[in-house]
Amino acid sequence: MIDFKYLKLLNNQESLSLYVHIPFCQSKCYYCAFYSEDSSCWDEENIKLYLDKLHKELDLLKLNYSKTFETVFIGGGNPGVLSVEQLRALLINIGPSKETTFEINPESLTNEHLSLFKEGLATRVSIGIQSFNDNILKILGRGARKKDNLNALEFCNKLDLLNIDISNNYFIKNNIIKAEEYLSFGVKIKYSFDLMSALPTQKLQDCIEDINILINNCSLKHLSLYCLSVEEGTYLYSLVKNQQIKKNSDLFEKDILENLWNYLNTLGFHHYEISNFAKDDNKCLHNLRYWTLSPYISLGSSAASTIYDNDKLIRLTNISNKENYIKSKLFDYYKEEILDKNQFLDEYLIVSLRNKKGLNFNYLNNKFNISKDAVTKAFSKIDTNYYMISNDAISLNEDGFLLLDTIILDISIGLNSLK
Amino acid sequence: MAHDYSLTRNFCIIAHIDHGKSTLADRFIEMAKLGNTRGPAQDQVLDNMDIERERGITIKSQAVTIPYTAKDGKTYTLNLVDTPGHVDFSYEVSRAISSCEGALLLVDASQGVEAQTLANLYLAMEHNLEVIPVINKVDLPSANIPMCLEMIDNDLGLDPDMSVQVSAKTGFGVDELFEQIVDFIPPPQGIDEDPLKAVIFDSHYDAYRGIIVHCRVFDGCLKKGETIRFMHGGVDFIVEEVGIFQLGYIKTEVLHAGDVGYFIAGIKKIGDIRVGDTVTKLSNLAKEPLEGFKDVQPVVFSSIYPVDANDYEELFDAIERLKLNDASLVYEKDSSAALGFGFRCGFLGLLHLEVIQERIEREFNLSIVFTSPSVEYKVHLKKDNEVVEIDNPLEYPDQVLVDYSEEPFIKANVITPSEYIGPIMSLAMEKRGVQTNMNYLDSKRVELQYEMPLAEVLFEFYDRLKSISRGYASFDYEVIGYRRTDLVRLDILVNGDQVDALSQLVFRGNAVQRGKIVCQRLKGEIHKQQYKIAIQAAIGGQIVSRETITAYRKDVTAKCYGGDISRKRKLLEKQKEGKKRMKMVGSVEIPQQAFLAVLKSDDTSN
Repeated sequence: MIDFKYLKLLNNQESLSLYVHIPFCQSKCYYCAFYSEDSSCWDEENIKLYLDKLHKELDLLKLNYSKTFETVFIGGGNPGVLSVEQLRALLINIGPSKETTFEINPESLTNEHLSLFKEGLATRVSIGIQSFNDNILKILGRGARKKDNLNALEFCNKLDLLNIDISNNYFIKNNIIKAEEYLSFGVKIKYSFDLMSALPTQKLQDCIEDINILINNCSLKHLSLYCLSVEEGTYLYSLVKNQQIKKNSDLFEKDILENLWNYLNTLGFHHYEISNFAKDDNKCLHNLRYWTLSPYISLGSSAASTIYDNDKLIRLTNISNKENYIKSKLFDYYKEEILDKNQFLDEYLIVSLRNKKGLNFNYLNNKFNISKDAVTKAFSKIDTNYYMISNDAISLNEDGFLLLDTIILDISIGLNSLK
Repeated sequence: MAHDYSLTRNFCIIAHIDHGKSTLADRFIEMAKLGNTRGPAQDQVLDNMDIERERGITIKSQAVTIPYTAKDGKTYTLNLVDTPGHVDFSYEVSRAISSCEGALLLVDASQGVEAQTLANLYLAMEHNLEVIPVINKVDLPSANIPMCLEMIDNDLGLDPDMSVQVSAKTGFGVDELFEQIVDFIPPPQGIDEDPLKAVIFDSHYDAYRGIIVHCRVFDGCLKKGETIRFMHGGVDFIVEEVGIFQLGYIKTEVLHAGDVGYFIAGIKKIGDIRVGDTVTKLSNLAKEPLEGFKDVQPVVFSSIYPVDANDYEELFDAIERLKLNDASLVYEKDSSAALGFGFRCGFLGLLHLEVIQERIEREFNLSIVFTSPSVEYKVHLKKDNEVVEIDNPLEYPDQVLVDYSEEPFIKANVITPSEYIGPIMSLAMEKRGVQTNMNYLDSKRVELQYEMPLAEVLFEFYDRLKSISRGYASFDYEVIGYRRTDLVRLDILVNGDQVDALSQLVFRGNAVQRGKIVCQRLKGEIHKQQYKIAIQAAIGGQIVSRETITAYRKDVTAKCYGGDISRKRKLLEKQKEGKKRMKMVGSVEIPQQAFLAVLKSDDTSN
C-alpha cells in the first residue's frame, strides 16, 4: 500500500481540478524560467517512462477521488512533444471535465490533434504564439516562425468548423459519464493564444499588428497578453546583464500595456485578469481556479497542488528533476507546506488582486476574520484612482493593475499590521 | 630604597596624519625585541581598533614601555605615549604630551612640515618638552632631506643638527634615534616621598578587569591597596592593581614618580574619570592639582537612531559600551516622529562622530541613521533676555520669539603650498571665514589664518580643502568663542510632511543652497513609489527648493499560475522584510541610505 495521507482528503474538497505537467521541449526559450528540458536531455524512452509514472499516479488518484475533475490542464514544457496517441491515452485516463485544455507550441500542432476535440477528449487548446515577427521569435529563442503561427490560426479555424456530435464523445460512448451530466457541463470548444508585448526592438505599432493578425485570421475570443519578464537564471537574463539586449523602461512598458489594453477593450474583450482577455463566456475556467485558490491537484515533475484540510491550505510541490520524479514512489512529494493564516492571506491577495473581481469581503471575513472596514482602511494608503469598492468586493482598475505588485505589498503589510 | 630615575625616558611622537607615527612606534617595539608576539596581519601594533588601522589614524592614546640597552651598556626604560593624530582630539594630545619629558617630532621627508605639526610643536614647547626632529620616510624616492632640514630650522626653529633621519618602514636610523632619545630627553624628576600627583591621560574599558586608567606619575608613588582621590572629580577609590604597558599589562608592585603606567581601582562610571584630572592619595593629599585640566566639551551634535525600532535597546547597549572607552562621548535620549527613539550625542568633532558611527555599525552590527550634525547655538530670546543653548534643530524656538543667535567660531590654521592660495581663499570666504593672518613660511609655503564659524567646518570643508590643494594643504583649528549670527531652521518636507530628522539649523545665507542639495540628494535615494513624491526644503513655511520623484509606472509580474503562487508569496515575504528597513514619513518610505546621503553634506565642488 502506498501511504499518501493527502489522498484521503481529496474527496472532501468541494471540487478538484487537475494539472498535468509535461516537462519536455524541443528547445528552451531564452526567457523561460519554468522547469523544462530541451531535446538534448530526453528521448522517446524518457517520455514513455514519464508517462507511465503519470498514468500510475492518475490511477491511484482516481481510486481516491470519485468525482470527475472540475477542469483539466495539460501544460509544459510543450505537451506537443507527445504523440497524438500518447496525448489521447492521457486524456482518456483523465476523464471528462468542464474544460480540458492542452498547451502546445504552434510548430507541434497537426491536423491529427483535431480528433481529440471530435472525441470530446480535449475541449480547449492554448497556443504559444508570442509574436508574428521572425526576428523577435529568434530573439526569444522560439522554435516557431511566423509561418507556423499562421498555420496554428488555420488549425483554430478548423476547430471552429468542427461539427461536434455528442455520439462521438469518447466518455459517453464508453459509459464513463452519462450524456445528460456531460451536457449539463455546458462544454464548448475554445482556443487561446499567448502573445508577448513590449519586446526588444518592438514598437507599439508592432504589438497592435500582432493582435490584428490574430483577429483577422481567426475568431479570437481569448488572449493571454504578457510583458516579457526577464527572470534570473534564464538565458535572456544573461543577455540583458551583458548588455546584448536592452531591457525596456517601465515607462515604455506602461505605455504599451495601456494602449493594448485599451485597444482590446474597444475590440470587445473583457480584461478579467491582469494578463488575460476574453469575449463573452470564454474565460479560462481552469486558470480561474488558481486565481480563487480553489483546490487543484497536479501531477508531474515540479508541479504544485493546492488542497484543503478543513480550513488549512496545503501546498504540495513535486520534485523538479524528471528522472527523480520517474524513480520516486507514487505521490512522493518533495515538499509539503501547511500555510499559516498570514501566508494564506498573502496568497489570497496575490491571486485575487490579479482578478477583475478583486478581494471578496465575505471571503476575507469568513476565512481571516477581516472586516470590510479593515480592508478599506488598508486601502486608504492606495491612491483612490487605482481601485474601486462595491458592496461585496474591492478590486483594482486598469491603472491599479499596472502597479499590482506594489499594491499587494502595501495591502499585505496593512492587513498584517491589524493583528 | 630610592628609585633610580636616570634610566627612564618618557616621550611621545607628534606628527601630522600619515607621516608615519604608528609605523615608527611599531618599529620601536620591534627593535626592542618586543614585537615578536604580534600577529602578522596587524601592521600597527599600537592602533588597537580596526578603524584606526584602516584610516591610519590613532584615536585613543596608547602607551607602551620598551626596554632598551644603549651603547653605554645600561638598559633604559623607554615609555612611549602614542597620541591621537587628529584635531578633534587636541585636548587628549595635550594631556599625553604633558605626561612626557620629550617628544619626537615627525616630519615626512617628502611633504615637510604641516600645520598640525606646528600646532603640536607649540604644545610640546608649552610643556617644556625636549623636541627631537625626526625626518621619516627617507627611503622614498621623493624624499627631500635638504628641504626638511631647512624647514626644521626656519619653520620650527629647531636645531637641524639634532635631527635624525629614519625610515620607520625599513628600520633605517632607528637605533640612532634610540640613542638620541637616551642622550637628549631628560630623565623624569620627582620624589617618591612627596604627596602623589599623577595625571590621567586616558582610560579604557576591559571586559574582564573593568576600567583601566592610564596615568603618568609626577610626584609620589602608587601601590595596590591605597586610597586615591581624583582631585577635580572629587571621588575616591581603592587601588586594586598597578602596572606598566608592554603590549598588554604587566603588574608591578609600585608606580614610582616619573613612571607611565596604569591602575585599576574598581571604577564603575566612566564619567568619574576625566582626562587631565590629577590623582592623589587620601593619606597624603597633594596641595593642588597639576595644571592644565580642562573639562572637554563636545562641539558637534547629532542624533543616532536605529533603522529598525526594535534595535533601540541594542543601540543603547552599544553606546554605553563605547562610552566606557571614550569619556568624551556624551549622549541623552532623543525621539523623532520620523525615526522613533534614539540618542542625542555630543562629539569632539566630525571625525569623532564618524568613528562612533563606524564602530556602532561594525562592532555591534547595527543599522543606524545619524541626523545632520550641528554645533551648539546660543539663542537669545526677546522675552526676559533669556539665552537658551540649542544643538537640536527641533528645539529651536519659533523665529518670532528669537531676538538674535550666536554660534561658535574657530581659529582655523591652514598651511598650503602657495599655488593653492587662490582657491583656498575663495573656499574660506564661501565658508564665511575672515582672514586674520597670512604668513609666508618660505618661498613656497603659506600659513593662512581665519576666523570662521565651526558649523561651516562640519560641511565638507576639510574634504574640499584637500581636493582643491591636491592633498597638500593642512588644517587645524581651535574654538575661540561665540559670535552673533543670522540663524534659521531649514525644514525638509516629503509630500508635505516634515521629516523632523532632516531639519537643520543653518546660516540664513546658506539655507537655500543647503536646501537644494538636500532635495537633490533625497531625490537620488528615495525609490519610486505609487505616488508622485514632492521633496521640498522650507524656511519658516516658505518653500525654497523642490524636487519631484515620478511615480512608479508599471510594477507587475505578468504570470501567476498554479506553480507560481508559492514563489510569489515567498518573494512578497522578502519584500515585506525589506520594507521594515525603511522609515515611513507620511505615506512615503525613506530608506536609511537617504538619511546618510543627506548627512554627507555638500559636494558642490564636484
